[in-house]
Amino acid sequence: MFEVFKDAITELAQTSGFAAIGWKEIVMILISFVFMYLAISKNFEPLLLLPISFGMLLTNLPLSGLYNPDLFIINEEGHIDVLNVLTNGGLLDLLYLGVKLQLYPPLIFLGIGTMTDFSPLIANPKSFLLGAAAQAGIFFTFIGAALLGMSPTEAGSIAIIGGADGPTAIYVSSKLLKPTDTIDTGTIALAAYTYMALVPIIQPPIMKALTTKKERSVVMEQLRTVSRTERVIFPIAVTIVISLLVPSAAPLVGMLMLGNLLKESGVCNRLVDTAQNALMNIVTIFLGVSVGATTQADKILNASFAKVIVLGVIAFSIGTAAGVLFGKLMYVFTKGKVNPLIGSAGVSAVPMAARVSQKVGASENPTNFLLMHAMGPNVAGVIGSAVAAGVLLSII
Amino acid sequence: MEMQMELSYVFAVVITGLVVVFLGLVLLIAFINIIGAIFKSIDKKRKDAEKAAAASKPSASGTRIESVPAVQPAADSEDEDEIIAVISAAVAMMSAAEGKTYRVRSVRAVKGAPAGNAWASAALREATRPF
Repeated sequence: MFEVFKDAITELAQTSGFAAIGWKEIVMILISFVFMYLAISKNFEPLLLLPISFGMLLTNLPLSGLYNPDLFIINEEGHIDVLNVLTNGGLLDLLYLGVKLQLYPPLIFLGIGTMTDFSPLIANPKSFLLGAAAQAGIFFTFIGAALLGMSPTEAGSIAIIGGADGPTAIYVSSKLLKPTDTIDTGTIALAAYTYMALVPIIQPPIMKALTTKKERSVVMEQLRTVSRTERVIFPIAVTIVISLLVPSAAPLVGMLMLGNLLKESGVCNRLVDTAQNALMNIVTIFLGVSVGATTQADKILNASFAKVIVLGVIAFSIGTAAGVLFGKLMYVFTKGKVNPLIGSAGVSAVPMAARVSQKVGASENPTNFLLMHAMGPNVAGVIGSAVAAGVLLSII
Repeated sequence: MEMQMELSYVFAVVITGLVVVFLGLVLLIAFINIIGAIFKSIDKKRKDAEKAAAASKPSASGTRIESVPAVQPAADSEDEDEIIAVISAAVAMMSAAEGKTYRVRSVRAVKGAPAGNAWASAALREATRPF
């Protein structure tokens, strides 16, 4: 009897995760703890970083079978075998289908649309230029990635981090990256959300270095009041113009603007409530945990991950600098009416980047209210990064 | 998969990307400006019509409506009493929460405080939290 008991225990030990775990998995689990710490204690984008880091923990526990990347290999017909995933996939494989089929990011954009006020942008349409300038970070990082010998799909996925927009980064990388690439969507998402949380640390030194005290002290004129009709027409117009110009940006821009139209119409309060609360929260959990699951040890502990980290911060910095420099240009052309600090808010990251503009401006003049002026380029940046995403998807 | 890109391809992506992003957003600027101009002219016409209607319509009593001076604000001392009462209530709430007792001995305007409304400053602090 003792022999049977001993054999059973031995068998159990040999088939347990303890026997199968390697040093790489242990390192990844420790990294997941770091991200959990950052989310819980430092409040770094906790709504996404916490599910992502927990997904990272789950996927690196050996033999759990929650996530199986082999199921997502593109077949001869050019797409993943969804039936195979549904039949043989683990829990996180099923949730990851929402990422792979580009379902979650547009749904997140729907929720964002219901929470976004485009009035500052409508009141000062020139803000669009700052939102466009800040997208330079995306395209210049593409050059850097190419010089480092990365493939077009990898370069495009890393470059989109410069858009400072998590759902857009996930959308583009999940569409571009192939199983043969050395990075994955989870890596991109982790870098994007980490840098977005670090916006208050990354941006101010660049903003201060590129502007003079006089420029930072500019007090801007109060924005005009925007009528309800304008706010209703805006999302419809943006959808038509952008979708006709860059059709591949239509899912993101279309959902963003649908959400905004629901809000501005004032007649769909129940839908607005669902989109900005229940739906958004459900999708955030699914997106976070399934994207986190893609961060398996082999995909993270390699040289490409270091490249993503370095290029990601370069993308952010170039985007910030380009926005501020364009702001300086507008300062010159408007004879000092535009504060260049609002240019840095063009890198999406709503509303964090606008808050940083406000904070840096207030450090020069405590009575200067740049927040609403910075919200213009900030929301323009969301549209700009969606357009940039569409361009990358079209070209690459 | 390490597939080297040709430099011409890389620059084509960069230039196309920047041009399309700017083009898209410039189109939107043009569109918003057109819509804004239309609404401005509609507003102007409506205001002109209202002004014309008001001018042509005499008041019921046949007398002109004179501008009435705004209601005088309450006396300063009354204002101050109310402010002190509000501050005392806030302090009482705070002390109750902390289990301590505070006494308001004097209320003075702070010299050298940043200009502007206290509510606006509070909103600013709220908006720029947590850094």
